[in-house]
Amino acid sequence: MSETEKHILDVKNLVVRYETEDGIVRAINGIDIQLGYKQTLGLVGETGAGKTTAALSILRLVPSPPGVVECDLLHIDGLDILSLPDHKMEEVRGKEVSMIFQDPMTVLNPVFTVGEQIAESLEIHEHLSHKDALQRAESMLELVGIPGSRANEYPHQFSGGMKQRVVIAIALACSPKLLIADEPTTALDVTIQAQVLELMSQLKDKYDTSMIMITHDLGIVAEVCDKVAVMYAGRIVEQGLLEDVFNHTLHPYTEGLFNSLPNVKNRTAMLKPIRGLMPDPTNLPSGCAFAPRCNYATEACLGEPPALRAVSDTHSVACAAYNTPGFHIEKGRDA
Amino acid sequence: MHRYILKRLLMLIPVLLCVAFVIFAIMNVADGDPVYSVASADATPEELDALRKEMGLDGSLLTRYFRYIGKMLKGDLGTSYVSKRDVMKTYMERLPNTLKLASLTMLIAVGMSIPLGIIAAVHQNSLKDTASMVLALLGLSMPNFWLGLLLIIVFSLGLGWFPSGGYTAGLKSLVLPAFTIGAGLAALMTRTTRASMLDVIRQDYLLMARAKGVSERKVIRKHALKNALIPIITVFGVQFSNVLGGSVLAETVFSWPGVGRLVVDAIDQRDIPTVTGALVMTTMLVSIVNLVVDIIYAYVDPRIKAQYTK
Repeated sequence: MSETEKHILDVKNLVVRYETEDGIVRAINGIDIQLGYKQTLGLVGETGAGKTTAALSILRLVPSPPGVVECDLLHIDGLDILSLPDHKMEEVRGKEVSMIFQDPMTVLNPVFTVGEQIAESLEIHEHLSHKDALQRAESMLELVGIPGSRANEYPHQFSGGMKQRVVIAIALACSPKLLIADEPTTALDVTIQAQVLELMSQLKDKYDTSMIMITHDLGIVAEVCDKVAVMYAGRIVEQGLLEDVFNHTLHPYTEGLFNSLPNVKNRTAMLKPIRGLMPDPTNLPSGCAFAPRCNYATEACLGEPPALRAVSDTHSVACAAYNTPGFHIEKGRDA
Repeated sequence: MHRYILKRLLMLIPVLLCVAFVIFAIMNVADGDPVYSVASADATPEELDALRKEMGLDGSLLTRYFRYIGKMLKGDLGTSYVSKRDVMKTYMERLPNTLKLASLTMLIAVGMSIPLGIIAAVHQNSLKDTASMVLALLGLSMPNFWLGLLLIIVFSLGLGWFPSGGYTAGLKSLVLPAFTIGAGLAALMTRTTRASMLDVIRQDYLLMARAKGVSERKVIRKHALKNALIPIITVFGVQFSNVLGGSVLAETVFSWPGVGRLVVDAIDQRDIPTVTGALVMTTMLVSIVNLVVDIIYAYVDPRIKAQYTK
C-alpha cells in the first residue's frame, strides 16, 4: 500500500488567496490535512479562519476569479484531484466527496421538489432513470426521518431542521467516501442540533464514511471527532487526536477557545474571551498571526510564522514559545 | 388553482366594463359631433336628430354606455361610421395579422435576449458582457421606424431576400417587421435577464448543485435560469401585451394590416365605434395575457402557486 492510499484525504501545502481590487485576501496559508478512512476530523476555528475555504478547495469549488488555489498535493482516496479535467471532477463531487453546507435555508433550490434535488445526484452518479432516482430519493428521505411521501414537496414547505435533513440526504445519496460538513448545525435550534448530529453519526457509521466536521463549537468536536485541527488566520496552529488537543492543549489560541466557554460549575465567573480580533487577511502580521492577541507572546513571535512541530506521534503545535524549554500554558498546568 | 383561474376570469368582467366606460367617456369629450361626418351637408336639424337616433347617439352618456354594454355582451361592437361594416368583423380580420406578427416578434426577442442575458451574467464584467450590453443599448436606443427603414434598404432593396411590405409573401413578409419590433424588445429583455441572473448566480443553492456534481452548463440552464425566470416572464408579458395592441410605426413602415393601424386610422376618421370596439377587444386580450403570465408564474415558482391556492 502506497503512502497516499492509507488516507482518504491527503492535502499538502494548500494555499488559497482571493485577488480582489482591494488587495489580496490570504484565506489559507499552507495547510496540510491527512485523514484516515472512517475517521472524523474536526476543523475548528473562529469565523474567517479559512475553514469553509479549505472545504471548498478540496472540492475545487473556490470561485475563480477571484480565488487562486495552490497546492503541492491533493489526493482523495488516492485520486489526484488537481490533475482531473472538469468533467472528471464533476464525477468526484457528490460521489466520492459530498458537502453539507452551513445554512439549509439557502442551499436548497426553491423551485425544485426535495425529491428531485435528491434524485439529481443519483441520476448523475448512479445513472438511474428519473423514476428510479425519485424512488430512491424517497427512501433516502425515510432514512433521514422524513416521510417519503413528502418527496414532491418544495423546500419552503419544510422547517429548518427538516431542510438540513434533506441536505444530509442529498449529501449521502450516493454514499460518498468523504463527507465534508460545514457547520451543519450552526443555523439550527439547539434541540434540533443534537438530533441532526446524532443522525449524521449514525449514517456515517452505516456507510463507513470519513468526515471532516467544520465547526466553531468545541462541544460538537468532543462528541463526534477522532482528530482535531485548530485553524487560525488560514493556518493550522494545533492538531492531534481529540484527547491530545482537549486534555493536553498546547497552543495559546486553543487555550483561549476553551477559556471562552462558559463554566457551568462557577456561574459567577466572567467569560474570558480572547482579547482583540482576528487579523485582517489582506494584511497579515509577518510573524505568528496570533501573537498580537497572545498572552505568552515574546519578541521571538514576531519574526517568521512558526511551523507545526510534532510533540508526540499524534500531536503537533505551531508556536514559537515551545522553543523555550519548560514552557507550558496555564491550561496545560491544570491538566 | 382552478378556482384561482375562475376567480381571475370573473374579475375580467368589471375590468372590461371599466375600460369600456373610460374609452366611451374619452370618445364623448373628443370634439366634433360624429353625426356630421355621416350626414349630408344640407341636412336639416330634424334629419340630423333622426340620424343621431339611428346611430345611437341620442340620450345621456350613461344611457348610451349601457346600451353599448348590452350589445357588447352579445358580441356586437356596432358598425363603423366610415366603412359601414361590422366592427367585430373588421377587428377579427385584422387580429390574425397582429397575432402572427406578435408571436414572431416575441420569438425573436426571446431567442436573442435570453442567451445574450445569460452569457452577459455568467461572464460578468468581461468582454462578452460589455458586448452584450452595448448591443442591448443599441437596440434600446434605436428608433423602431429607422431600424425598419434600414432593414428594408439592406434586406429588401439590396439583397432582395424579403419583401419591403405587405402581407402576401407569407412568413417571409413577417420577418422584417417582426425583427424591427423584436430588436427593441430583445434589448430590454437582455438587460432584465442579465440582472435577474446576476441576482441568482451567487446563491448558495448553485454551489450546492455544483457540489452534487451537476455540470456547470446544467447549473446555469436548469438551477439558475428557472429561479431567474420570474422577472423575465413579467417583462415578456408586458411586451407581448404591447405588441398585441399593435405596433403602429412598424405596421406603417411595412404597410402591415394589423390592429394598430386599424385604430390609428379610425381615430383619424373619428370612427368612434371602431376605436371603442378595437380598444375593448385589445383590453380583453391584454387581460388574458396577464392571466396567462400569472398562471405561468405558478408553474415556475411553487411559492407563488402556494399563494394562489391559499
